[in-house]
Amino acid sequence: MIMPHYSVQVRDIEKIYHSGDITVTALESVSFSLREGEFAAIVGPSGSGKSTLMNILGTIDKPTNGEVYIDGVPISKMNGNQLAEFRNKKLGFIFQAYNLIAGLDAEKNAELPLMASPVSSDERKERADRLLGSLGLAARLKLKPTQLSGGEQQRVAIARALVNNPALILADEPTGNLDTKSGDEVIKLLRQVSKDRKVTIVMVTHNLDITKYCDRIIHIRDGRIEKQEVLK
Amino acid sequence: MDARDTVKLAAVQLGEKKVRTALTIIMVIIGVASIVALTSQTAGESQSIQKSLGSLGPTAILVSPSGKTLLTSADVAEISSLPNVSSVTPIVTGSGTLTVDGVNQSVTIVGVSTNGLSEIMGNSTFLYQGSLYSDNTTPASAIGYDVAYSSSTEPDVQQVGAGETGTIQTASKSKIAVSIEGVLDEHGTSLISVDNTVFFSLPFAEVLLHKDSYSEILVKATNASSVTALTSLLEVVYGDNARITNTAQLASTFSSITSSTTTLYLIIAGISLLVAAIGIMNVMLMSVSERIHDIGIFKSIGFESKDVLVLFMLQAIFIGFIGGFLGLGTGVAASYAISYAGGLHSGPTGAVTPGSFTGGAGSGSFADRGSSGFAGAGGGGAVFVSSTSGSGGGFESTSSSSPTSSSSSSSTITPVFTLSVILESIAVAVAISIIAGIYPAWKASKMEPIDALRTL
Ligand SMILES: Nc1ncnc2c1ncn2[C@@H]1O[C@H](COP(=O)(O)OP(=O)(O)OP(=O)(O)O)[C@@H](O)[C@H]1O
Ligand SMILES: [Mg+2]
Repeated sequence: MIMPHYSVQVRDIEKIYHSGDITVTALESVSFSLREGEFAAIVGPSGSGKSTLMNILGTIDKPTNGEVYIDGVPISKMNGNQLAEFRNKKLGFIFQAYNLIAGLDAEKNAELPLMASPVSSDERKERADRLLGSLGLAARLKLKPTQLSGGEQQRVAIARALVNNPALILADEPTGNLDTKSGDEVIKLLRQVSKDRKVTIVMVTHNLDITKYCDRIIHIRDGRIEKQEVLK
Repeated sequence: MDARDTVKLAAVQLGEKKVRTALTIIMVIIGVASIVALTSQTAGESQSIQKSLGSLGPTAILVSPSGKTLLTSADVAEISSLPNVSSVTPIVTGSGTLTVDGVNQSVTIVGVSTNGLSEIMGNSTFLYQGSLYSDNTTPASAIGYDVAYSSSTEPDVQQVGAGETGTIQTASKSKIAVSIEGVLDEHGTSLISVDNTVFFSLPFAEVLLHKDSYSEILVKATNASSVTALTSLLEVVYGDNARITNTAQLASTFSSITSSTTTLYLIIAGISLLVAAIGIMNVMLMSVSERIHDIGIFKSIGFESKDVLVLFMLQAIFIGFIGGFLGLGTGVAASYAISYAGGLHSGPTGAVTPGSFTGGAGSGSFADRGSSGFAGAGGGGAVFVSSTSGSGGGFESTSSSSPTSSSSSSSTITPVFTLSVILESIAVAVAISIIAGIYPAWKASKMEPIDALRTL
C-alpha cells in the first residue's frame, strides 16, 4: 500500500552487478520511506552501496528487483524520455564534484534545468538570480565555474538543484570536496531548504559530524540497511 | 528545449575550442571555395563561348579544307550559288610578329574583306578607333583590341593606336611596313581570334602569307532553320574534301568540353569536401568524447536524448554554415583573382592565349572525340581556323609564337555566379556537416546518464 504523504518509498530493492563471472550484490532488500521535507543522511563504509542507492533514487540507474516510488509514482514504469522529464520536474542533483558546465557562467548553470522545460527565459533568469542571491552569490552571477571557489561552485550546484522546485534533492557527498567551514555552510543551507520549501533531501556523507542536522540517518553496510536513526 | 537556448549552448561548446573549430571551418571553406571558384570559372568560360558563338550567329557554317583540297574563288562562287546562302566570306589566316615603336608582339593574321569582317564581328559597327582598311592590296590593317592594349603591366594604357605604322613579319617574308588604320572593339574570347589579330584585306594577306587558297570559308545561311539543310548540302558537295561545321555543332562540342572540365573540377572540389567532412566528423567525435561528463550532467538534470542530439548536430551545422558562407566569399574572391591573374587556362608563362581553351602545348588532353578537330593558329588564336594536318579529333596547338613575346593581356574569363551555385554550395556545406555530425551526435544522445557521469 502506497502512502501518498511519503515523498520517497523504497520497496525491497536489490541491485546486482554482473561483470564477467563475478556477481556483486551492491544492494539487497533495501526498504525505507521518507516523508515530505525530511532530510535524510545515508552513511556507511566505502563500497557499501550508497552511491548505487542514490543513482536508483535519482532514476539514472534501475534496481534489479524492487520498486521505488517518488511522490507516489513508480519509476520502473517510465521510459527514458519520461524519466528525463520526471528528473527535470521532480528531482535535483548535487554532486561531490559539483558537476557544473564549464563553459557556462554561474547564472546559466543555475538556469540549466529550466532550459529543458517550457519556462520563459525571463522567468528562468529571475528564478536563478533570486536563488543565487539567497545563496550569497549575487555578485558572482557572471563568473565561470573555474573562477569560483569550491564552496561557491557547490552553492551554484545547489541553486541548480533548486531552480525547478523539486520534490526530492539527491546529494552524494556534497561536502566531500569542501573544507569544514564551507561544508558546514552547505549543510545548513540544505537544512534550511528542506524546512522552508518542504523539499525531501537524501544526502550521502562520510562525515558523521554533519548528520546532526538531519532528521534521519540510514546506516548501510554491505548493501543492506544496518539501522535507521530518527533524530528529533 | 527552445531553439535559442540550444543554439547558445552549441555556440558555447564550439567557442570553448576556438582553434579546433576554426581549423575545421577552414577545411569547409577550402571545399566550398574550390567548388564556387571552379564552377564559376567554367560557367564564365562556357558563357563567353556561347556569347562568341552567338555573335557569329546561329546561321554560321564553316567550310575548312581537308587533306590536299584547296579552297579557291571557284568554291566561293559555287557556294554562293547554293540555295539558302546569305553570305560567303573567304578567309586566310596565319601568324606573325607585329612591331610598332620597337615593341614586338605575336599576333594572328587574318585576311578578310571588310564586309566579311562584319560577318565575323556579327555586327555592322565594331570600330573602336579610326577606320577600316580598303579591300585592295594596300598594306593597311585594323588591329584587335588586345593588340592595341598589349602591355601586361599597364593594361589600361593604349600602346598602339589608329594612325600609327609598324612592320609585320611572317615566317615566309621579311619585314613589311604596314599602316594601322583602326582598332576594333573588344570582342572577348572568340572562335576566330579577333582581339589578338591584325586584320588585312584579303588580297594583301594572300601576298603577305604566301597563300593562293583560302584557309576557311565562312558561310551564313539565310535563316536558322535552313542551317541543317545547308550543312548537309555542303557535306554532299565536298564529301571528304572539307569539313563542314556549324555553330550548333560547335556549341555542343564546346559545351561537352566545358562539361567535362566541370566534372573534373567538381571531382577535385568533391575530394576537398570529403576531407572537410572527415574533419568535421573527427572534431565532433572528439568533442563528444570530451563532453561525455557534460552529457551525463545534461541528461541527469532532465535533458532528453533528442536535446543532446540536436545540441551536437547544431555544432556540426554551425561549422558547415559558417564554413559555407566564408567559403562562398573566398570562392568568389578566388575566382576573380584567377580571372585577374589570367585565367585557369593560362599557359606556363601566365599569358592567356585568346581563344585557346586549354592553353599551350599538350592541349590535346581535352580532346573531344566527337569534334572534327580544331586547331589553334597563331598565338593560340582562332580555334575556328583549321589546319590541314589531317589529324582530326582533338585540339592541336600549332602556335608559332614564343610565349615570351606573347603580349596578350585580356580575354580572361569573367566568372559567372549563378544563384544555384551560391545556394548549392551553402547547402552542400551544411549537408556534409549534417552527414558528418549525425554519428557523433547520435552516439552522444544514446549515452546513459549514469555511464556518462562516471566518465571523467
Ligand atoms: N557499474 C558497476 N559494475 C560493477 N560493480 C559496481 C558498479 N558500480 C558499483 N559497483 C559495486 O557496487 C558496490 C557499491 O558501490 P557504490 O559506488 O554504491 O559504493 P559507495 O557506497 O558509494 O562507496 P563510496 O563511499 O566509496 O563512494 C561496490 O562494491 C562497487 O564495486
Ligand atoms: Mg559513492
